[in-house]
Amino acid sequence: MRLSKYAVAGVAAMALASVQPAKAEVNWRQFEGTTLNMIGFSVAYVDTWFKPMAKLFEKETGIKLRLETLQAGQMRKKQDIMLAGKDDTLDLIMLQMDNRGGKLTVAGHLEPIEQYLKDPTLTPADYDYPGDWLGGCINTASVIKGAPLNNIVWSAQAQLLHIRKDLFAKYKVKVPTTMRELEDAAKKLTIDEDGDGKPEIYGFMSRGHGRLTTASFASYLFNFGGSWVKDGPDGLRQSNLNSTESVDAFEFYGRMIRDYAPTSVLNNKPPQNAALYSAGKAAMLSALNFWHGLASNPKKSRIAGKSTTILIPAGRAGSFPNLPTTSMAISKYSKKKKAAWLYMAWMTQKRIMLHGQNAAVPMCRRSVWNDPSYKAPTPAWGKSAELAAEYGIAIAKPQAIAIGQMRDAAGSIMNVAIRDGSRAAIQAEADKQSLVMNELIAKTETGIDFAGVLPKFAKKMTAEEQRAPILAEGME
Amino acid sequence: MVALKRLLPKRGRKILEELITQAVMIAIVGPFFFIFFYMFWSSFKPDYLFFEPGIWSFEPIWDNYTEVIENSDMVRNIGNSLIISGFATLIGLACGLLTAYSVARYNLQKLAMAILLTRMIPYITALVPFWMVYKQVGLLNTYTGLILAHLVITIPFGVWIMMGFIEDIPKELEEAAWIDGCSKAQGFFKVILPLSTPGMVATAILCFIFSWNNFQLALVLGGFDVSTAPVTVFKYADPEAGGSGQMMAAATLVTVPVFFIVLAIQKQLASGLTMGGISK
Amino acid sequence: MPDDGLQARTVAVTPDKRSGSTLTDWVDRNLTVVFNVPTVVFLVALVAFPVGIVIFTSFGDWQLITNQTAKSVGFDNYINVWKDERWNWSIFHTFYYAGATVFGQLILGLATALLFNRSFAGKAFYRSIWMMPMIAMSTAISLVWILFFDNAFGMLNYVLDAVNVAPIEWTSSPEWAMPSLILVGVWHHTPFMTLILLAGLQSLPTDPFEAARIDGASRWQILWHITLPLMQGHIIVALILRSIFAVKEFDTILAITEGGPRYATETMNMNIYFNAFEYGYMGEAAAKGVIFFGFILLIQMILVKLRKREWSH
Repeated sequence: MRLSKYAVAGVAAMALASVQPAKAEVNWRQFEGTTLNMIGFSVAYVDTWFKPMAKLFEKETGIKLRLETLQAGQMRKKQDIMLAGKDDTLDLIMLQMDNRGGKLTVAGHLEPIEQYLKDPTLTPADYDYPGDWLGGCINTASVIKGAPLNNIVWSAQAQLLHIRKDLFAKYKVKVPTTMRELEDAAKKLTIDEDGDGKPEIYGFMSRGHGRLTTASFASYLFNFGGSWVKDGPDGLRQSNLNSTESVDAFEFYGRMIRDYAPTSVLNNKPPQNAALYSAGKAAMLSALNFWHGLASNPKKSRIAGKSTTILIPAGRAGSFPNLPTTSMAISKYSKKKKAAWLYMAWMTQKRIMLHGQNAAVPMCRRSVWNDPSYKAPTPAWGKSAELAAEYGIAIAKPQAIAIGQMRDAAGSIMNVAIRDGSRAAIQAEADKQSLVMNELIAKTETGIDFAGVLPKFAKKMTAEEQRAPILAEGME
Repeated sequence: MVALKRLLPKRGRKILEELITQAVMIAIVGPFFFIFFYMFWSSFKPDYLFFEPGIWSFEPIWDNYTEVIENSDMVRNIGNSLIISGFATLIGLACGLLTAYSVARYNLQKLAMAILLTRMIPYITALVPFWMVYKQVGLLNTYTGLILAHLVITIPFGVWIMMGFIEDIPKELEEAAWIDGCSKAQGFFKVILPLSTPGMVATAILCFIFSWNNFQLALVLGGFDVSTAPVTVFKYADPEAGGSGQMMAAATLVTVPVFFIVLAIQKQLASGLTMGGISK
Repeated sequence: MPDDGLQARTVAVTPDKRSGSTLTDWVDRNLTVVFNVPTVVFLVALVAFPVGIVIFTSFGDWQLITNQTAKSVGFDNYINVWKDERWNWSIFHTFYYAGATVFGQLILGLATALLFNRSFAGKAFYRSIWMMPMIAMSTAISLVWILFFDNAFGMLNYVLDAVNVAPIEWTSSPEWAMPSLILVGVWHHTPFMTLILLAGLQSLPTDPFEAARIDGASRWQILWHITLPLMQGHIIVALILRSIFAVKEFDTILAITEGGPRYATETMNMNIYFNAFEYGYMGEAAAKGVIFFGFILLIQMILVKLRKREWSH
């Protein structure tokens, strides 16, 4: 990774950083005494990064941040109700642009932030957006073409493959770089030591629960050459889930779940999969890189020190890391937009992001990855997370206005792929759901141009880069 | 079995019967209780043990509790829940008692039916309208707002259970009070009120439990200032917030207060609930 | 119960009018009004507006985020919902869930009520433990059941394995997901059923039982020919109460299966939830809510009718 001039500047800024940066033109205390309200979702990195930072923020700026964290589905509901009702008590929201970003942007519920970004009294001179942001992150920040910037993307969570280094070494299995090798490894690492027909260790684990599968399936879909949607003839997009490549991907993923994963994954939510993996019940887990924190915590995990992450193996179309980033945005109806922006700008400064980076929450600023104080939990985790943040695209869901229904449509095909598994059945369901999707697109997306979800928008990754994390860990 | 019983002397038969009853009770009550035992016991487990059901002994840890208490508003929200459900229960009970009395004694069928109707409304549909109304009148995110919202649960329930209790109080007692010179209202306060105390305790507990458990109303109508325990607990249904151990610790924390409340007034509850009121 | 109020005695004796101020007189004359003001005011104020908005919404095409300027669509929402395959299935799922849980609760509740109606050592102790699921918060207790249901490493399959029964794919197979939720429902609400039925048992007249005993009837005969017929009214009341709850069950389903897998546990309530909050179709969700309310009303009317017929015998 090249050390950019921004990173150098960042390091210099770090050296100078104290409670009040010496050269800053931004008066951080200009909104002293204000209270900001934010709704976010309850995930572990909120606890490890957001909450301690909120305290520091109050100390440095005199602004109090009230953060209500809710379970993701309930958070979406609450934010939607408050935004639709133009509630002015909500200032800041946490969201994933690839999920509801399109819908909220089109409805105009998010405040455009260019004006604040340009204002030297609100944004530090060395803030450097988008210059210091990793390519994949910037790619995910804008969902609708031509729409003004309305969010700052901060978390570079990516879907990666968690692997058990010790098992790969013990059973002498090649660490997979291709889909064929992945299946081969899963087969060899589904281990039934006592021969009772019930494996003690399952070879592979990933989400299998209806609409939730889209996030973990995305990389497989794209690597096989498929995609959620394609450009249609009349300027509107069309479902691409019934293409040969897409059905191949469904067939493969379904087989991996059916043959090498415990059946519990069919109704598991992602954290349960992570918990099972951390309890030592699986050799590979396809999930967000953040779960490494759980797997490496000796208090909670049986496999501390034995796990690392690599990129999801390449398919015939290449390697497309799925980067479901998380953003912060300001509600259009907030009465404290400037203070809210000040929070976002403060929170995404290099020195604050570095706290998160060092707590193994992958961040979107390039310079924190190159900072001397940053040390990756494992070499392969660092390498794979950084590559994913650089090359990743926001393909966790079929970006759409009717996002909920689209996810359900894809989930229906996945259900058939996992349960039935025959190619004809998958194709039939894919054809059926594609009609549903096309109808939804025609009904909701006229005149709206979605960006960034097609494979052609992604940067190509080389085979060397695909192998880089494995080599960094000294594995073969 | 029956033949065997016949052969035994009467006393032996009694003992055998007692033993069988005990065995049956344990067989039925045991599995029902096991869920609670498991919840409590595994809240002290480290996460990795959750998927090894065969392991029964481990070194208990407090981490799950400290993490839940530090990382969520659990303690504050349990307090909020106690306040909100407490007031909603008191108001619901007072309204319920008065209405139940007039329905039972004056045969107000239509009113009773109308109240039953409000119980049948699927509130999931009305959540957003509820929010809109609350925003208009400025009740969002306030204790008053949530207490009022919970009256939708406690009032119909209070009316409906208290009605049976009041019908069980012989009318002659009231009539005797009237002959002694009491007005109807006085008769109600002097005769009905004291006599329905056990029923009120039982009704209060049931109202409290239903209000305590309500999740959707508090989620939508509460907010940054006022939220309740079920909202916090639900975060752990997607245990991204912390893992299985914290799930169990959170579940235990919200069960304990109600458990102690019920334990404290166990006696009144049992006598009140079995008085016959509930089934009318 | 309201419909029992139907048989309330008429007021024969009235208080003596000699004493008391005009205010107490006025209160006495308007007792039914004064006593009902708080209840009616609270309920009307709280329920009327939201329900009014729901009914209004059900005739428009309002969408939570994507279409904020709703226009009237007449009865379209009410007609279109029947074309929604998932909705039609959700009606079946609702009745499947409610019917099975209430039936399970009834059988187990009756059995335990009969047991608790006898006297034996430690009865109070057993009873208080038995009542515990009643106090359990649905969201909290769902968390425990989620762990129990894990196919590969959960408690239930561990027990099955110990007694050499093939493991069951609890919440992850479309066939078993609903029975799993029914199990939770039975566990959670049977104690309440026990309570209602126990109260009923204790209010039964003793004469028929003594007569039967003198005639030398066996316990089974007494149960079958005397207890159950006498309990019929109480059983129907219990069914009314529990079925209102069961068709509206939401928290445990949301927490444990979210309506999955493959919509196999999507009840009407869940379907409305998804329509309103995941898809934002407020108009359709409102129409479905009104229809759902109609279903609940229908069940209750049937049960109330049954009860009246039973009483007229």
